Amino acid sequence: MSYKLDGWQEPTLGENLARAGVERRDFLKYCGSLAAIFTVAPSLLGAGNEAMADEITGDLIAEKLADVTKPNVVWLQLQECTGCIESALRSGGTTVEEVVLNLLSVNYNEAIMAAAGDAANKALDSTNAEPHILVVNGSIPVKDGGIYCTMGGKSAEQVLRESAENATAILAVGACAVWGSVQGSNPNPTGAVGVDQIIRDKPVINVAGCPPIAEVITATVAYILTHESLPRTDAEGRPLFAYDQRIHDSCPRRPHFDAGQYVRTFDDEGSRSGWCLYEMGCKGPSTFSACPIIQWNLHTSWPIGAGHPCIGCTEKHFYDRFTPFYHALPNVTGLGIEATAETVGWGLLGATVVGVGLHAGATALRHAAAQKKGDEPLEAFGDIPEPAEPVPAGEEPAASGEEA
Amino acid sequence: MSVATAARPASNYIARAGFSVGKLSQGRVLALAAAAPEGSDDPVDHAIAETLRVDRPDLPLPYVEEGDFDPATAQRRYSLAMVRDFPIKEGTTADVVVMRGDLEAVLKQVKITRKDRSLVHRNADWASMRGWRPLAVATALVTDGDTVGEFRLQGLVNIGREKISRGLPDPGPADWTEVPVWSLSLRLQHWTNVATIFTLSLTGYFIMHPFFGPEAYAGEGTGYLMGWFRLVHFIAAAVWVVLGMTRVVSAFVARDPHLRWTEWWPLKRKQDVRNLGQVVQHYALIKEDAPVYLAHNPLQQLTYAALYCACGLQMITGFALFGLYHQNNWIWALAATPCHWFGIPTVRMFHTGMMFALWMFVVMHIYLAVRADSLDRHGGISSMINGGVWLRRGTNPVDAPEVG
Amino acid sequence: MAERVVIDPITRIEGHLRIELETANSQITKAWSETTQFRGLETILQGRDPRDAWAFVGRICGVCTSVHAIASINAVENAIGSNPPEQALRIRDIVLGAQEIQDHVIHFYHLHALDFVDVAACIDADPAKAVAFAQSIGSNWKGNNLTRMTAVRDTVKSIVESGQLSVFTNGYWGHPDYRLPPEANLMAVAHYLDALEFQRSMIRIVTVFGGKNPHPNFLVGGMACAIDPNHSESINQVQLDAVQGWINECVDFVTNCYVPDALAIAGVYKDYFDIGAAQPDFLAVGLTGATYAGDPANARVKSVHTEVEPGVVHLDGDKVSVEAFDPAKITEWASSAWYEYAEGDVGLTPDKGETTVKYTGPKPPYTAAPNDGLPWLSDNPEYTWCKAPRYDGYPVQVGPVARILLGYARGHARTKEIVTMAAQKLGITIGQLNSTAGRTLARAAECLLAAELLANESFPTFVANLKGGDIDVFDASKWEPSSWPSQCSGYSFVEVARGNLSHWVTIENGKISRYQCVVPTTWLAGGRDAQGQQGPYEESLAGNGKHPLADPTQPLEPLRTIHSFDPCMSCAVHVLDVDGQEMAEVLT
Repeated sequence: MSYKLDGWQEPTLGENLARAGVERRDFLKYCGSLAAIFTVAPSLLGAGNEAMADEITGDLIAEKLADVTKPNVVWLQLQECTGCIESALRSGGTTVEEVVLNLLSVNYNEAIMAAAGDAANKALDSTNAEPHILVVNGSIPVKDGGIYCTMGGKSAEQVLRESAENATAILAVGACAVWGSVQGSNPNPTGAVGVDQIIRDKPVINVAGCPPIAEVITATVAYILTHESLPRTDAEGRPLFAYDQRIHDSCPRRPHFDAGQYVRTFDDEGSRSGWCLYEMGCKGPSTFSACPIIQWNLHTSWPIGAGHPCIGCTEKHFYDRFTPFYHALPNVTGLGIEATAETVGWGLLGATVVGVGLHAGATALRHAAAQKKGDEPLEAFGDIPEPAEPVPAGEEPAASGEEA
Repeated sequence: MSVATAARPASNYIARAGFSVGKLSQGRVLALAAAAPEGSDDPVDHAIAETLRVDRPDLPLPYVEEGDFDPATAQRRYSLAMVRDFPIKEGTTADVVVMRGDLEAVLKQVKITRKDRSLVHRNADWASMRGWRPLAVATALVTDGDTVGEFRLQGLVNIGREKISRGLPDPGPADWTEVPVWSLSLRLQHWTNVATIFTLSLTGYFIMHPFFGPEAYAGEGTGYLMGWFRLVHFIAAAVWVVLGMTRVVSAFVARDPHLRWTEWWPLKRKQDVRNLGQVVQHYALIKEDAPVYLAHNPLQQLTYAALYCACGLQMITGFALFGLYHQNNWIWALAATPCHWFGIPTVRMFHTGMMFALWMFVVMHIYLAVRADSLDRHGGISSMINGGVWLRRGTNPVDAPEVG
Repeated sequence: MAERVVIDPITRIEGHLRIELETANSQITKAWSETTQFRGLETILQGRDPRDAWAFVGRICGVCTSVHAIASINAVENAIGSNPPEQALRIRDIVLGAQEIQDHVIHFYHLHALDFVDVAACIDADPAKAVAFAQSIGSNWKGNNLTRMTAVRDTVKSIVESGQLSVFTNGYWGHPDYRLPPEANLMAVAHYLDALEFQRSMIRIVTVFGGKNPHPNFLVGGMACAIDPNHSESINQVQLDAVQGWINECVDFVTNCYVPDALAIAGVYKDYFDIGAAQPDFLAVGLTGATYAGDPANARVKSVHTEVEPGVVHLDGDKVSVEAFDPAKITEWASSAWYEYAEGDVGLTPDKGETTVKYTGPKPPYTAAPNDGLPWLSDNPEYTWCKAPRYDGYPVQVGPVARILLGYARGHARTKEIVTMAAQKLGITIGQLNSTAGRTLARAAECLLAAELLANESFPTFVANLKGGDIDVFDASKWEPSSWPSQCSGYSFVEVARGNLSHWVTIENGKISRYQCVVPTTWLAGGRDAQGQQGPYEESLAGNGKHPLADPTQPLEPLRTIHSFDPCMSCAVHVLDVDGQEMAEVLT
């Protein structure tokens, strides 16, 4: 079976399939086989119809799927910088036009929606009332009753909870939505947290990055539409299709790392030769992202490709755990000192050596003193400063084992 | 046979029978040491005579004629005395020349086996560490009236100043014996540990901070510098992990009590806690002596328990970092779990910090081993090669039966 | 009888802005500009490595990405005495130029255009007429063809008919003040989509040098991207060729699409040259992209059209005068903001800036629609997170209009030429630039200047230097903190898309002890000061009591005026808190 697929141009799947030349008989056959394998997502069957799961038939699936309209989307922007939407605008895989106009119906997004104020809030409320996909940019400042970020007079937390209630899938897009990002860094004055710290009863897909790569944002949406399931994720909720490998493990500069060829200062010969930035504090070894593979802005370049060490923006708390950015390991702080782990390590080792030396000295002194106390010159030991009297000749014993 | 009955002048020195290297009893060695002209006002002569009188009233004070005593001098740090009819054993007497004085000076004049020499030193050091002065006693048989035979070392008599030495532990009578403690497998494990930790540290340090390497293309092959370092690190790590596993297994299956897991937890009775306190005070230079342990004292046991934990953590964090390379494999994903909890940089820093901590342990370990060996003369260092430690007969170690 | 109106959220901006209004007889009588987001970034910066600061403040805004990072590295370099090499400065010029063009295009088409363009109306348009309309306004854009226009109309049609309007849901479609003919609406929607494609392509200029966009990477002391014509893994002829191509795209799109569209819309909505006037005083340190590390009067590092000296422009009717700029005259007020100063309600200079949070507003939720019974923010004298900067005690406007007027007043030839051309075409005077349409027009004019600067100066100079063998991009002498003074401070001014941006940093023992940004949107979105002077947003809406608002449920007219400033609220709320936080106590 081969069909011409031009994306979603008709209101319903049935009509789209018809447009693509899929015959109803094929479609029913396909749905029949689906019924044997899958149970249909409750959202498709409507609330309260879980009991029908036993009686799912190919016909029923066909009926439900054919009626599917474009998924409605609420795309929230909470406490953030709009960089994630800007990134999505730059997607060259599935373009943002495709996502917004053909694949989805993005009924609420502050950055690009036409309506404002009351009209925008109504669009949000009516979409929230139906099953929808929820995309979140931005963190949720929970401190002080949520005063640090409000929309339509509501706190970010309230807005998020209302939108999450009927959401069938929740995507936290960008470092802010994943964990709080820059405003969530120490000392986190506004109490900024990520989506999965508020919404705990539903899975949250964490599309990490500051911002995430454009194509990864749109592909995550497209993945859900294509596979009709959430993408498989790693332990931190990041989709494996974009976050299963460290930058270090797929970095084109990795051979230079293995060869021991490092940039020692910026703009040195190694830098011009594209050597490894490990010694410049590159966080590639600690960062899961497909940057080297997908690259940025239509495969133009990527941070390490442009000579700057990775700052690890797909990792949680990178502003605290990865700083100073130009050091390989985070600094050790506390007790008023701040130094690299290496310096601290050597310092402690030195202190140990000194401590051992002092202890050895003290031990030696103590025993020297103890010995000295009994060390009054004793004639029996030959301690006499000078011979008391000449040794009588002939009394010399058989010294040196001399046998008489 | 003449017995000196006249009291010698009062002395503020005391003497203790020390150690007999030959066939003579310690009392007889003491008696030989008492060989001095009648009426000598030397404090050592007096102290020895007094002790002999009190401890071995059965033995006579040897009679030395005025002209038969040749006192020690600064050049020749021993005295010589001709003793006639000395009771070598019950019912047998002989004429002997008694050489008495500084141990090193006497040792130069005698024939002695390596083993005996070591034993003599062990005893002399042990006593002198405690404020006593070992007075060496050697004898030569006189035959045919005036033929002096070869000098043989008979033993030591410890001389101490009354005021100071009274509070000191009795330096004798004692003898040393070698007790096998460390099994061959334990010794092998110890040295394999040394080798792997050394290798892991060197390569690990380079992985943390590749402080040397090419600055620019030198017109030759790129090499595989870091690659080799990492490969060696991983191989050594594998060896170390296998070693660690065998150690854990042996802790539960071994019959040798020194291999069993109980060795890692010293505090089983109230007395153990008191002993721990005394050991700590000993190391803090507050107490001179601590309870004697054949194997590890409580502080050591705790330290080694912590060390095993530290090494375990080092292995876990090592695997956590190694596992990052393959997150699609559940084993490695599981191994990498700590990275998701604490963040990769934190784990890396911990791994580095633990390396420095191990180095600190190594420094202290070597120091304390050398120190203990010097103070207690138990041969702790050589025991890691031949397995035996030296203890004085009659010692009653906390963790073993009395040494006979 | 005054009617109260609230618009929250103001959409198609960056960040969170709320406007409360009082209207009478369909005209706005009072206005409050209320910023409802606070992030406290500068608090977070304290004690950090100043070399890292760009990566933090860069995240102030992802729309005006790059600009905060560049301002930051400039300020730090100014403080520690680093001398970035010539080529590094040229690269930053190129990045700023590309950013400015992308930002203006996105603003015009995707944030602002829907105030004037009725998307739903274009389904009735004849694609052929749309092509003809485009030609009639002088648009030589390659997208003006029948196939494209037809496809766009069909797409919009399918969306509208599906009933799932996506981002166009609940727009004010059919509002009587949408005045474009259907074919103009169709052309505008086609260009809306083309502009998406365009910005996606041309922003790669930044990616080449910064590795990614948004939030490219920068480096204190220069740039991290090595340039060497004879190395495969540094920037060489391959990248230069690509950059040249994208710069050509910029010139093409701005000249043939953006500028004609802006002129056409301004022509249809000409009454907006008399609506939305804010204060007639304008501050700029130069033309777009002008950069100064330190006081412009004696800056060690300065760049881009330095012949156009910094100044404050005063408009008196059509009379333009300019006074010299003195950084010491900048103060910030917290009179209407949720902060308190130790010294009371005074203006503080940025280098002494302080902010202690003191929230006095209502606990959320507060009103989102009239008569919902919830409290209003404007019931209190403090109503925003945004401070109010003043120059010499009075509010000023910043941004494209300020720079265009400065260029005009300083006699910059190309600026005068463009302004004269537009004024003649539209039949407006120079004084009318202080208006809603004036600000929008100035932005388009400036975008043209930026594209020409990029194509004719920044990039050619960079290439010429490279040809001369200059490949240095980094000053390593001041990289290590040990080479810095134990205490130092520095600042920088950069003219970025939304106006004059300055960053101020103090470094003690290698760590940031104080960080302050004075940001374009703060100048514009701030509230009232202690003298009761309104901020420019408020003044533009309620300055003369004549700003129209026909239907409070469809507040199209105030949206046009607010959008003409290109609000960037995340930028506006910048907070330095030296002495720790005193968090909100009054939560009623």
